[in-house]
Amino acid sequence: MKRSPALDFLRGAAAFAVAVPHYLTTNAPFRPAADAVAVAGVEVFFVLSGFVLAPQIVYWVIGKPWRNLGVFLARRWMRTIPPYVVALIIVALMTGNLLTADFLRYLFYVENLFGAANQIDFYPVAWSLAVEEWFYLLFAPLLFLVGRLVGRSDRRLDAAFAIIVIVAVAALRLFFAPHDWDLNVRRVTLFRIDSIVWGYLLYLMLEKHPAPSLKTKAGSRRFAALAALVAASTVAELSLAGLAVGGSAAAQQAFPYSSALFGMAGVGFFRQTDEAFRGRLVSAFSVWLGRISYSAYLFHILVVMAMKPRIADWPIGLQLALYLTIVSALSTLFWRAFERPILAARPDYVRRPLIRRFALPSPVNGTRDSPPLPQRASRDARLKTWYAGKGRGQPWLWMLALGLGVIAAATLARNAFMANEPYLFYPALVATAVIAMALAERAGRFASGAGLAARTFFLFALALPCADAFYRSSTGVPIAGSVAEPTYSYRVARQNPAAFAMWWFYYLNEWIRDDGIRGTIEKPDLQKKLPFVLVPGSSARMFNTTIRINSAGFRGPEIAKEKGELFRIFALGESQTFGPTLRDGEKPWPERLQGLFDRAACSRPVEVVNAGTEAYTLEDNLERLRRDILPLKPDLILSTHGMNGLLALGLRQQAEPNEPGVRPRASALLGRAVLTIERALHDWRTRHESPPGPPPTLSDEALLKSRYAEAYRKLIALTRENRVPLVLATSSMAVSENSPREVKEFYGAVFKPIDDIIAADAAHNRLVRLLAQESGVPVIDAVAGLDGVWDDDLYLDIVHFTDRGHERMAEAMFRELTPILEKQSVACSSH
Amino acid sequence: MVEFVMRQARGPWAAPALICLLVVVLLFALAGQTVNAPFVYTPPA
Repeated sequence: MKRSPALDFLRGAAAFAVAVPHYLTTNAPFRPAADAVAVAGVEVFFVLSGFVLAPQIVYWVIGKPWRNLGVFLARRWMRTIPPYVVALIIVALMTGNLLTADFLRYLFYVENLFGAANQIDFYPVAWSLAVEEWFYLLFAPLLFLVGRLVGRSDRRLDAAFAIIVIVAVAALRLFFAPHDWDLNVRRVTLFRIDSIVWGYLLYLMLEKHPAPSLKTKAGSRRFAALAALVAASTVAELSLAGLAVGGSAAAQQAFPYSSALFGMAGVGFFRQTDEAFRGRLVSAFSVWLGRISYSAYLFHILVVMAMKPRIADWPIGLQLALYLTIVSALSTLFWRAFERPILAARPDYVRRPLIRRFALPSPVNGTRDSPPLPQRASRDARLKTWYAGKGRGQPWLWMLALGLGVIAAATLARNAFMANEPYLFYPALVATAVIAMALAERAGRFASGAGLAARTFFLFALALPCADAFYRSSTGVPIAGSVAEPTYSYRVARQNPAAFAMWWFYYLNEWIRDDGIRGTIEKPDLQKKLPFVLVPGSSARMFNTTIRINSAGFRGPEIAKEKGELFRIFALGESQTFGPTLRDGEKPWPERLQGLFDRAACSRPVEVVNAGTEAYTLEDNLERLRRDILPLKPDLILSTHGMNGLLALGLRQQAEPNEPGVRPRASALLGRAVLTIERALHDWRTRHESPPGPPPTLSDEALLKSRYAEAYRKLIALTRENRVPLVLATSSMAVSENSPREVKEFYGAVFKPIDDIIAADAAHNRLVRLLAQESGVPVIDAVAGLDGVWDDDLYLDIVHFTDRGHERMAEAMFRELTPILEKQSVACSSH
Repeated sequence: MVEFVMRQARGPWAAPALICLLVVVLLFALAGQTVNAPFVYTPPA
């Protein structure tokens, strides 16, 4: 069969109609037009694809033996998958997404099956290849099966099947398409698979009508009509694409049909003009353009990523010229070195005219994808050998399957490694090695080298668990943090930041896991004034205990709606007051304070309510005071704020969010070795940056003008307005300015920059005392015996108390509150 | 399957074992550099 240079030209033009706009799309002046052209360019591919595959489907697959169906799929897969996998791996490497879950979805063309499934769309052109792949896998085999079922294979069945698919997908789009059109409709396989069927239908329509020569009157008339149709449909397609991307619902519904018309007009026009492409030079150029079109489509994104940042200040014409040259050169090279040998190894269809209901293919629609007719008997024999699985004549399919298997197993191993799941990681690593050994056996002339590498990998996978066990026992790195072995302080962690790191991740996870504290007891604030609110009556597991929120929305036991004789104290604060606890029986300091008041014989019963909320600042608590606390008629507000508002005191935020640090990994040995390399790279990248200077110091005047001071003044005013006595308290941390440097560094590894935090906390306490002086509000010193006491196991981390810490805090509060309560006519005797 | 295992079992295994040992030693050397490395806190969103 003869190729059609005109259709080759169209295919190449469509590829560059996508590649060029993708280069320009980040340049503001070109943006909307570039988007519309790229969107339209892809649509031509779909129709063209259906058109050129149709002869294979109707002549070699439908009504023919099962074997030809296999050959059809093998030919398509060998054509499309290997270059795609190469491009995908390179893009994933460049964007840091190799072997992630998103990568795996791309690899199996399921990133856009029913909707956009990937978190990061790092290979944005892959969606159309997935649509193609699912067309190959579904359309021809289903048509084949339907033909077998109804016992016929003729053009009526072919056409009826195509129309049913088109109508079914149209109905799906009409009734089930989500609102997010570009990502979840236009680029989704389920809603777009019909776009290729239009091309197939076009072939059926034109099959019996060869294009009349351009030299004849009929030919030139048809040429003019098709040219007019192409012009009109191009205008319609580009405007609809622009409108649809802009959000017009009507344009979005019409887009698939205008695309079909646009693609069909283009294919029809170029088929008609085929003889104009028969000149030697034009033909050679067109065929070349067609050949490099697939790799240009696959690789142009890579060239944009690698090149554009380096030449962004060049004149745009020069940039484009260099870009097109590089894309064309790369694609030509890739075609010759990679695609051509694979295409040459593709199996041929078996010529066994079982059903002679229609004539042999007409020569008019020959294209690059048209199957070569089997010429020699030996080819059939070779094919049979291949299908019987004997010999190594055609190892491509096996290579492909094993290659995909290695990638899938390696992805699983990588994800298990990152997620710290050793029981999945080690077996996945062994599985990767075994599949790699099988692959290496078939690696042709590279077999011995690949075999050596695969066997080494296999031994390594077997040896790694033992090496890990030895590494852990020799360095004291725990497998995971646990409540049985909490390593939360400098003393308990035996000065081992690695052990503290494990503890820290375990501890942090108790807060943030889906069924943990924050996922269960928090809900969004309907009034949108607070970052979240606590869910009244909820409870959650944290470590080995249950944290309960009472029906009024406070941590701890229920409180009476009518307080009666009770003297009600609200401990207004942050997570230090809320109190993460480890085991049953442990209580946050407000509950312990309640116990102390219960045991003391007070002249009036005292009730302490825990009004601490994790992550709330003083500003948030002002809203909570108005909303939840004042209606409960408090007799005293005890303010215990500190850490969460420190940014308002000039605390510099962590300077390097991307600094590589210890994470719990499935293999400690491998994790640490990788970390060493990451840190060396990080140090090299930041070698010119100077370390942060000393923390900023705030004068008393500046402190009193800060946002924190403003919030405190609002608190004082609000409580005065409502005639509720207020007591302020200073805050404490595990380390203070006087702590030894190594202890500061120990905590500073997590809480950065530690010197800033310590300075800001000290400034906060100074501010509290200044405000107390200014306003006459009593102040409780919660620093003595607590602040900077790093060697007595009082803290889970830098700020949250252990049970012992809560106990000491409650005692300090009780001691300091007793004389204040006396002034409120509540006399309590200390015990 | 059995054939595959038999073919693999025939080796050679000496060179892979030696390389594997070198890799493990290298990993220990690398991992030893960061036993006391800092770790990075990413605050929950």
